[in-house]
Amino acid sequence: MKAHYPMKTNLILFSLIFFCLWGSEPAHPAEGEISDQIKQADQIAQNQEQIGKNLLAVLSDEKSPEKLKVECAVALGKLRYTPALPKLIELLEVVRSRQGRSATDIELIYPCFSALKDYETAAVPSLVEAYIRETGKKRESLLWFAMRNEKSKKTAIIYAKGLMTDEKDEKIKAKLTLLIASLESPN
Amino acid sequence: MKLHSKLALASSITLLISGIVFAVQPVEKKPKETPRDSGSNTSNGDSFDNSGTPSDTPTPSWTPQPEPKHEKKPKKGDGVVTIEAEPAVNLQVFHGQGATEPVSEEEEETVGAFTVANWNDTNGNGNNDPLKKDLDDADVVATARGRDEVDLMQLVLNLPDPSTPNTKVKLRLVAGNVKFWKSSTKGGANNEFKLTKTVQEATLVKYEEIPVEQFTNGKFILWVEIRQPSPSFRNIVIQEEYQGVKDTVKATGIWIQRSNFRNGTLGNKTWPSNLKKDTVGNTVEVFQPETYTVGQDVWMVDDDGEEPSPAKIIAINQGVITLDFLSRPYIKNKNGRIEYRQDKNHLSVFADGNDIRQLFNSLDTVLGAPDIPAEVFANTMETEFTVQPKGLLDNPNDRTRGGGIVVLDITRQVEFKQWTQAFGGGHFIETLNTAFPNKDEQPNDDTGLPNTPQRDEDNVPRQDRIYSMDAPGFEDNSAFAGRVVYRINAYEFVRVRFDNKPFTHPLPNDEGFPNSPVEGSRCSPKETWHSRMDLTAEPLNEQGKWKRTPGVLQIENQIAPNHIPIGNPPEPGVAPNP
Repeated sequence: MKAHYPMKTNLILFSLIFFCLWGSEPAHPAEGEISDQIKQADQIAQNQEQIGKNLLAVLSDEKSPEKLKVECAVALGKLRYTPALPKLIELLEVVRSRQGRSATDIELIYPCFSALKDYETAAVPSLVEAYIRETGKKRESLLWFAMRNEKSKKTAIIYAKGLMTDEKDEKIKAKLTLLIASLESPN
Repeated sequence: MKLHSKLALASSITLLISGIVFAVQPVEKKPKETPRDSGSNTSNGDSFDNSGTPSDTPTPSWTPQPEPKHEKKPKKGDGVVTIEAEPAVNLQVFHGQGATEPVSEEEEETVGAFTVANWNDTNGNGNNDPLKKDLDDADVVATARGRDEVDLMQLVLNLPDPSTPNTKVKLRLVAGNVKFWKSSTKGGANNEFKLTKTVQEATLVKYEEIPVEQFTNGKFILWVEIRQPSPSFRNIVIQEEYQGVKDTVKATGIWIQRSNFRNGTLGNKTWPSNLKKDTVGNTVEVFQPETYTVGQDVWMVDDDGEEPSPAKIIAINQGVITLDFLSRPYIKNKNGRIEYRQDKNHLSVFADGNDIRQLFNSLDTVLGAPDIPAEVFANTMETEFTVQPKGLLDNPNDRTRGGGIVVLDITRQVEFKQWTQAFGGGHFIETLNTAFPNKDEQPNDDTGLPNTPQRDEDNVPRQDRIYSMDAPGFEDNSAFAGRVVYRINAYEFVRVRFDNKPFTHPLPNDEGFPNSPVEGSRCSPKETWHSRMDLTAEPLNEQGKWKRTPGVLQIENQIAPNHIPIGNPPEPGVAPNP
């Protein structure tokens, strides 16, 4: 049943709702508290930078055990440490030792590929640049898949279109055209 | 001659108007079709199926002529205008899978309803018997392996307006092989609503008369079971008729069949693998596949991704076919095809989805069970399915061909075991063990990412074909044990939904094989295949690379149709329990 209220009642209800909503807004932290958080943020950023450097150093060291490299690659993806992007792309085909069951489960097989996907749009310029110069069929496909997911695809298309405008090399232009078309394709 | 019904029980309204004729609004939104004189019977009287008609069927020798709007027709006479209103007749049909809204008035004939030909086993009582069909059950209620029937289409006969007591409404089956049921799960043999009468028109029409008193709340609801895949779109034509006024709805029954299983060795005879030579003019010669004859229309396709070219076989001489590339544009209604492929070990050209091709590239391998892989050690297969009716989803924007309604998904059930033996030999240890899911339609090998096409499938028909691939095995050929035995059985099948929504795919993970939710309906047989690998490290240490174990039977290293029981590992078998 539809309720009908007189205008005056409506006004009171509206005021109540307004004040409830206004009153429910989270309070700003105290000035001293926010200063502490600003310092913490700075510290966290410095720590992240240091962790990223350390992980990248281990990943780049040929003597590092394979298993440790794999863990570092995955951690770098979670951290989105951008200086590691070239190394992750270089080590794209490093395989995580795994017992079956399908060679098509590329997320589970290639830790660097998986890490690059975790960077989402932050990795797109590096991925596109690497893709257009890549000649190996397998690496090219893995780079393509790293851009194909819903989070990176649009950015990759925009970035590739931007590159097209300045590119002089006809071969690279053709590859960019194919890349854009394939990423835009629903299938 | 129009037999337009003046007998129709129209509401006759008599108005006394002094020399004025009123303009009157139509009383019915639908144009009606005019009954015709009987023509030749194109039906066998039983199946009511128009098999082989390539266009929208049925294609009678006459063309339905829509009447002008059913306006009340003023009749003049001594200052008295009599207006006869014909009854509004409205028949509604719903897509299968329990659609909640009927197909719109605008589309009920031009697009029609879609569902699955009832050849699947929704209630799971067939226990994977390939011959078992819901079609044969008088009642389709869930067993532990399935669900209640979901594939019948709801059909609503609305009580004509106006209608008169002691009159009858006709339900007419003009074309199509269907049965009508009073329940969405059929509900038993006595629950079938049989059409007991026939009339010879352009086709032999079956019909039944329903007293208006049997309508409940203005509706008479039935469920339509499609008993044969539609050879063409909208081959099923159903009408409600009252006092000569008809409303028509149409429907299409989908079914999909596996048309090939490619593993680099099977079925090669149907694919000429080498182009012999170009000849002058419009002809080219290829090696003859056995199944082709002179005069046959075929298609020549290449692995360069270009559109297939229509051609006609003009000669076959000592195993070489001469094709005439006809000077005509691309034709979809082909009668056959020849594929020219890069070689037998690569994906078909019609598997042209970006994702499936990139995935195949990323494997850097070939179809089959290669002996000396570069890095990947996997058995790789491609399965091809062919959709029916032809042309299904060949244009995603064309609703008359299922666009925006029908969604296909190739999916899979697997069982497998893997055993490994240490570098130093000894008993095998079972390292993987997965059983088939309990439910007939529940996949357990169909992962995917959100809003992203599945990499190992091409679910968009090209030349009526859709594809899946799989590569059970190891991306890395570095041996992680002295010997590994890895055996899989799989059911590959297609499912469909009719609400244009994507299927749900669980994310791939390391934990095992996540079950996918049961969604849509199975719309193909459950096609079997198996993969078996028996690999040994060479050298027999942690630096070893996989090699197919020498001396074992060939079936231990192959990917091929049919199932082979998983069995036990080779001698010395699994270690006995301590």
